[in-house]
Amino acid sequence: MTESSGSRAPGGSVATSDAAAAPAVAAGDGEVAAPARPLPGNAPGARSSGGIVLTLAVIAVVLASVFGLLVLTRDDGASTPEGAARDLLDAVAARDAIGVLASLPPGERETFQKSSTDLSAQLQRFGLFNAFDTEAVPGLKITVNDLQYASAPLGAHPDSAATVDIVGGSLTVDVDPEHLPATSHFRSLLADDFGVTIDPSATSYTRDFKTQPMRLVAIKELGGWHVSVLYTIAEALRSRYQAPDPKFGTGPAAIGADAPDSTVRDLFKAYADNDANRAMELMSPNESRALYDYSPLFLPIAKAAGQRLDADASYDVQLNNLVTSVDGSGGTRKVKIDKLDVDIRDAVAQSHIVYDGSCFVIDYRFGAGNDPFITYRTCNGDTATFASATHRPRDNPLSMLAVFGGGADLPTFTVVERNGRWFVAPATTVLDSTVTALGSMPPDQIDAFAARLGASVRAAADDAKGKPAPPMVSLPGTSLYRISECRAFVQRFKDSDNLDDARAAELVAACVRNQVALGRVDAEDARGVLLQPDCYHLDPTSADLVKACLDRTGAN
Amino acid sequence: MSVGPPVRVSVHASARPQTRDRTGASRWISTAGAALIVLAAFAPWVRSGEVTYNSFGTARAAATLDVGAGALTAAWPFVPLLAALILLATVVRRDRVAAIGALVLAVATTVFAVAVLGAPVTHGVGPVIALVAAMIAVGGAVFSLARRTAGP
Repeated sequence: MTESSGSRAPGGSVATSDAAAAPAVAAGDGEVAAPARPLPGNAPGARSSGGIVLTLAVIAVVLASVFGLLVLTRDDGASTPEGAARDLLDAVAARDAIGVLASLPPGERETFQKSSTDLSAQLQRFGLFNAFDTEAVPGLKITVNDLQYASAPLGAHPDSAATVDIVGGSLTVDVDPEHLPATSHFRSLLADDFGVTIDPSATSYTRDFKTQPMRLVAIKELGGWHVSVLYTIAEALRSRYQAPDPKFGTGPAAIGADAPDSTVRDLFKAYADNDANRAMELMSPNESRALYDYSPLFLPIAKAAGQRLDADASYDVQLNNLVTSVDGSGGTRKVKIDKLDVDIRDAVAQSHIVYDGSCFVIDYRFGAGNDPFITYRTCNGDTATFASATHRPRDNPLSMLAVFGGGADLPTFTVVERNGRWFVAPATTVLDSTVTALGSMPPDQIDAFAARLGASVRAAADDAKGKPAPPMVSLPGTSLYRISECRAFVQRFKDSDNLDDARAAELVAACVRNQVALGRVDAEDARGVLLQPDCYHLDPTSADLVKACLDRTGAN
Repeated sequence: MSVGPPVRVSVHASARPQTRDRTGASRWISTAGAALIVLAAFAPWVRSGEVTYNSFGTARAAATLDVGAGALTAAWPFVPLLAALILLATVVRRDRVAAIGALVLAVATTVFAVAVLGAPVTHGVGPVIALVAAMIAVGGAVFSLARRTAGP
């Protein structure tokens, strides 16, 4: 305090000897005022300059307030659908990873953002990617020229989704494959396991949007428009299959489950009950908004298929046991499958799946009471069993998904809470499980992991049953058709496990015998294959060849 | 509270001008530091591909991508306002208010700049300049407060 050095002036300020020239400044906040000095406007000869400074300061305050409010209240996203597309493509052309992520809808950016950094680090650890500077990705240059956009409302709510067609301009990608961050090892894995080939001779790709328009879908979230990767994919699929325009908001409600582990349990139960609607209700509305909006296009088809399977009792899943454990706290949890026991029965065979937390075992048999004719067993960390995981048929979702962890684990489900209910986050589940599996994997096992993953991806791209050889005849329900189903079923194992012809013929006969026992195949129709099974592993597309074989052997 | 007679004032009067000059300089040093922080805020802070983001773009991106301190990135657009208020306080000679404002601004700037420098991104010169400016502002503010506390 400086009270001793001045005299108290009226109003609580301290006056000094020059107070006559410069009145003290009141200290409104309780402090002792600074020894009175001339205010800018009060000092002799300084009144005008002080006033200017004061005025400038006030203007600065006003301008800064406006600036702050404008920045703070700016919407997340673009003001128009076209603007969203422009933002995204500009960011892509500028290799601006932040801009690309920021232009995505919040639900999608969370999903991709969390895993992309970890995934990139793991790919570098395995030598699949070289470390690179995002400012100048080597071997890649993207140029966009004079892009022209045309947008139209999409779905029932035109203010929430729109298609953005790029109808003019061009995009050119100049590539130098030898200098891309992806190593030759990565490219060979892509080619061998995923069927994706990067042509080393390709140096430039140009798309003229006037002749080859491209459709993006933008959605409005948090007040702004964002290009949605998931909606764009869904719209491309809809267009490809010439499905009618979607009516957004008419799908199932996001109901979820009452607890984290219940979410996963209900999902497995929905799978067992062939209840696609319930499975849909368990998906995170934040991450699966596109799935919900497009579900009216595919759920009726799935429902009809389920009813058909139920009607002819040709497919049944029985969930015998499921044990889960939950990790984490707050609104995001991890649900791990500790134990699982499932029976799957279809028109031809029955498979029994057992997962005990470290090994995934699936066996196949003809008829419930018969011994399995083949068993695939994969255990975490046991490289000797990895071939089993790669070769086993991907004829059900569980077989497709049991490739994580040390080689045999099912994915660890990421579940999220919203308004007190719990939902599965499907994309995060797969991405996080992949990153976790890679993180604990020795470098020498990356090829085996890629092979397992590739087999599942290919199967998922085909259909849930893999790609069995086609039956010889096209009259479903007939004995010959069912015999052909047996042949196609066995052919799948023959291809992947190098069964010899004699063993394959034995299995076809066993399958047909089971069909006869079930009353699905007439015994007289089966006489040929049972007496002369060798005829049933001939080229199935040639019924004449099979008939000739049967005639030749006298079985017909 | 009564204070000494005017004659005591005249005894110390010879030392007063020097004290006032020093305090005045420190006030303006902290204000200059605040102004430099604002300038630094518009400099490049983060580089992503061929795009550079100033501090406001960086704060917005951090908030959008949900990384970093939520409250700080949300309040960052008001840095120029705080600096302008510091200037105003200095002009109207609210020294303590100006000094405390400069300290708050310097701390916020330091936290944000250090966070950006420590993040796995390519950073520009903005956060470095901001850190220097924050140190200037802190120096001026501390000296201003110390002089006011200690007296002449």
